Amino acid sequence: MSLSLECDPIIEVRDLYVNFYTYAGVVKAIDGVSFTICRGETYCLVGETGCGKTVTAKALTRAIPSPGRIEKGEVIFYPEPGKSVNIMELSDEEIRRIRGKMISYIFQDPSSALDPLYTLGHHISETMLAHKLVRSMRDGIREAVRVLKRVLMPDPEERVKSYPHELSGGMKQRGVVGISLSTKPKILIADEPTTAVDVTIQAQLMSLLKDLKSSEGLTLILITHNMGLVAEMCDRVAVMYAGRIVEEAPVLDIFKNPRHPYTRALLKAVPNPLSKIHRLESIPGTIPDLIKPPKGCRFHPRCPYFNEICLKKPPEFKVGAKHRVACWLYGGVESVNEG
Amino acid sequence: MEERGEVYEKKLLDRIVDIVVDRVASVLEIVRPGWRTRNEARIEEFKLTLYAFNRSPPGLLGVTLVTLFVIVAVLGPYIAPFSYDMPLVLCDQNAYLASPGKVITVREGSLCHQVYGIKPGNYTLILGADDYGRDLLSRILYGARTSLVVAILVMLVGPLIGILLGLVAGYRGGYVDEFLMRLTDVFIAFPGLILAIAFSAVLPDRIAGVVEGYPIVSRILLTLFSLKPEHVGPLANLVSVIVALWIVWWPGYARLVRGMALSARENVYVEAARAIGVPTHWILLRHILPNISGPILVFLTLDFGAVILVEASLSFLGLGAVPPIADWGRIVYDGAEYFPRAWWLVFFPGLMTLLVVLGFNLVGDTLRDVFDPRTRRRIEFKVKRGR
Amino acid sequence: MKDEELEAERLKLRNMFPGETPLVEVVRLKKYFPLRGLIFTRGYVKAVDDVSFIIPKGKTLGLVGESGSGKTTVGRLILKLIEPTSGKIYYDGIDVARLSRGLLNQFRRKAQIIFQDPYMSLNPRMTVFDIIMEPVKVHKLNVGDPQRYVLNLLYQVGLNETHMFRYPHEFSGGQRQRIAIARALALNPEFMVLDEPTSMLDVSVQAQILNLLKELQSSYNLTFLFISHDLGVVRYMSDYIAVMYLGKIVEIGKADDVFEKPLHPYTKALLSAIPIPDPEIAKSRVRITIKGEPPSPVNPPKGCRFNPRCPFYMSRCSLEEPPLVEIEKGHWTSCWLYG
Repeated sequence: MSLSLECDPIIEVRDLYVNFYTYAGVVKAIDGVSFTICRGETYCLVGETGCGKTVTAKALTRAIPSPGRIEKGEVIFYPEPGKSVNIMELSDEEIRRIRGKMISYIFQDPSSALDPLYTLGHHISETMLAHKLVRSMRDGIREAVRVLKRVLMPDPEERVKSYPHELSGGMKQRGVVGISLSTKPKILIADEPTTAVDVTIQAQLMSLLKDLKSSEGLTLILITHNMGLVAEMCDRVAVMYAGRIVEEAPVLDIFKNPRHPYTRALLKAVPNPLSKIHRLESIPGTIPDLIKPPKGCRFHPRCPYFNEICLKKPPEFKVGAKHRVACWLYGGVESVNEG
Repeated sequence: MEERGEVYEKKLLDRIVDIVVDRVASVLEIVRPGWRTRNEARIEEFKLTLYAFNRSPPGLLGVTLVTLFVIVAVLGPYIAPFSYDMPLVLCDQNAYLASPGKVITVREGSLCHQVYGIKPGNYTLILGADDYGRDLLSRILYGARTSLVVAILVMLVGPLIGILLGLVAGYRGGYVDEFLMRLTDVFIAFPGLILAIAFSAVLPDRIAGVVEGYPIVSRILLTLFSLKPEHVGPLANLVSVIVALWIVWWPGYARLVRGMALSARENVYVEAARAIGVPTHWILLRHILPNISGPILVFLTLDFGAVILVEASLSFLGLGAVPPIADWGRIVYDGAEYFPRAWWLVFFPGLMTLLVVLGFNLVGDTLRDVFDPRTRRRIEFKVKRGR
Repeated sequence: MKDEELEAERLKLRNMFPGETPLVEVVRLKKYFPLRGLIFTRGYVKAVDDVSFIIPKGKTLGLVGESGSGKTTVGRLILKLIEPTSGKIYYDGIDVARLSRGLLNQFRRKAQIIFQDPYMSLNPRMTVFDIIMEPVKVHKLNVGDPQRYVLNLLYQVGLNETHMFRYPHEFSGGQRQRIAIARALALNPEFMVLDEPTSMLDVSVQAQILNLLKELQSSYNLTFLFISHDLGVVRYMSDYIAVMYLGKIVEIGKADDVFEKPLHPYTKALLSAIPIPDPEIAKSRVRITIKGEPPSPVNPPKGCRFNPRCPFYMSRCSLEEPPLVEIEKGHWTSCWLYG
């Protein structure tokens, strides 16, 4: 699939398949996902529970926990323009150097990311020490203060000495952002970073991430189910459903011209506080079981436009310069009407 | 949602379970029409639990041992060749410390024949006999009955007290909880064995008084233990051990249940029940207890074996079952002085105790795996995938 | 507060929203949770601190706030799941504190609650039939054939007879909430507290449940107290909105008024903090960011609770607490900006 992105790619995923071998059976969690992320952009993976967005993000550094296994696919990382690294072919030692140093993560619950026995400063300096960015823990603590200043932590000299239970949710999340950024990564992957914090803190964190992105030259991959966040933060969006990307487009196009029936339904189901809506459209049915997923297009049991052909897996069709959809509605000769 | 009628790979035992459970369900359906549809899901879950149990060979071994034990205990007194207190030395001197397989002869017109009504002929003492010539096999069969009845009587009362107190303490909290838990602490602080010894020394006279005072009580107990009426005295000793074990056994359950009730009451569905206006006793019995029943059941099963062992130990120390009552521990106590000459007097009762306790332990361990949600899921899918 | 003063307050509040008859009246409600030290009480968490409002009959009052605002506590106080420290709650004109056994039972029949967590609000050992019949049995209601009654309720929430004798764990989150709603309906209630009923559900399922609740409200003329932190959802569901901050109501009024003409600085900041699912608006709107962290409810700031973070701070704000005053018809706020 070749969309003319005209950008400097930082990470490319080609044909990724991930299965989980559970007692219940084989969960086909990721079923042929491909995308390219440009350097310096904010790329969003959007979807509901079970769509595979977290697994995809973890696959980027082979951080899939057992019983998961990457069956097939390639992940190519370009730390610098022109230099490429094939993630799948690296040794364990090499991938460990990339994970945390060049590609960093922040997860949903900051409380579980922090060890309650150690101070925030210890966490940061331990990370830096592990990636050989400082020589000793003492140097690390000094650097940690600087890191905390960068993430706008109030009172950084004091906070360095704080234990996680002494910090509020927002401060913990800032701390976690600090830890992830201490290694000056090229890519920051944020998986539902604001689900556990209040709206006002969420706004602060998002604005922090935006600033850091430009000041540090980060590429941000944001995983969320919150369409509002997507509109605020993202440059390009990939909508995932049941382990596949069903639509990918620049953020404006996704909201103004959603093509895939799932994307459309999703947007109609999200209440917008700024306008008085008279009816939320719900999507009938439930998310499919990925052990025995529906044949062909995985959305077809819930799709109002279902047709025989949907029982075959749809390829991706290009409907715009940077806009692709995996839906048979767009495979026809005639172009589809807008709106 | 799972598809109903999903095909499980059923083993033979599973099919037997199906037949038995379905039969019982049909009977219940006749008694209470409509019961079956209302409890369809419950029946399926129950069957699934049993299938899960079937997947564990140690568990099945345990069930076999326990079942055999119960059969032997119930039928023992009826199939035993001789009574538990029949001194065969009166018939034939060879019966004295007879080794397993020895044959004795009862002569026509002898004391055994005329007074005790034993038909003349040759008898093989399969497991041997003790110093009174009492047939060991018979005594072991009666001993099984003793062990089973003691265990049942202890387990009916002791855990019940503990569970009730634990529920109240855990759910109410506050001063009630504090008071009950300190009471529990006091009882736990006593070394169980010493308490049992003390009670066994003190209670028999009192109990004897009670038992004689209420002939119904003595009649029931004598039937349960399959004893002759003249042995009411030794029965009192046994009963005092049972009472001692009630007192020693309840605190463990109180603590266990209290801890579980404490966390169970934080569940949202308990709050939902309160919002509906469900009265406290209802909440305890329908919302708290069923959701903590798994660990309790495991505890109970393991305890059955423990009680049998403790009772045998007490008898072995000379408390508890007093001759001529047949009790495995007591047989070992009496036979110890002839060891290793008459090794069978120690070996066979010991072996029986071992097997029975082992059986309960195996069942209890398997139940623990079956009830723990984490291990249960693994087993469940083994059932479904046939692995 | 003496009874006569409370009565006076209550009379004033009855006309909080012109044209509405109140079903629930809350007058100067306080709930302080003691913090237990080793022997003595170390202080109080002032979860709800002098809150007064009404819930109009047949309408939905949305209660919004962040964590620590006290909104969840208010819901439980109204249903008598916890007892207030002071203040009064009136249901249909009767003081709920002074209910006899019989009247308390009646109250419990008329007032129900739907909880946030669908995975834990149903007893896993009871079948759906038992769960829905339990309230009927407790109150010894004569409903004729129990199975037909339960079936009817199931149909109303979008389930059917195949669900009746199953266990909760066989259902998805959305279905479980439906069961919880059916249970709440079993007693023919007038009033329901909905405590974040959809925050643990996926977006598509959320829409289904919200639509169901709206239908039921109009069919049965129910009165709702809808507690949520999600402003989009609250706007969709509510006729009136009360905004809470640190145990106090800072603004209350018609939903449209509060959203389109917010008075209180906190409301304004909240509205500007929520991400809007519209990228054009997101990029162009003016944001009021509030600095700092929400303070703890143990030691709330003196004067107006919001003053340390308020962009419109005046010296008066940290000296005196502003009272709740009606600024325009049916639209109240407590802020010194409005004299």
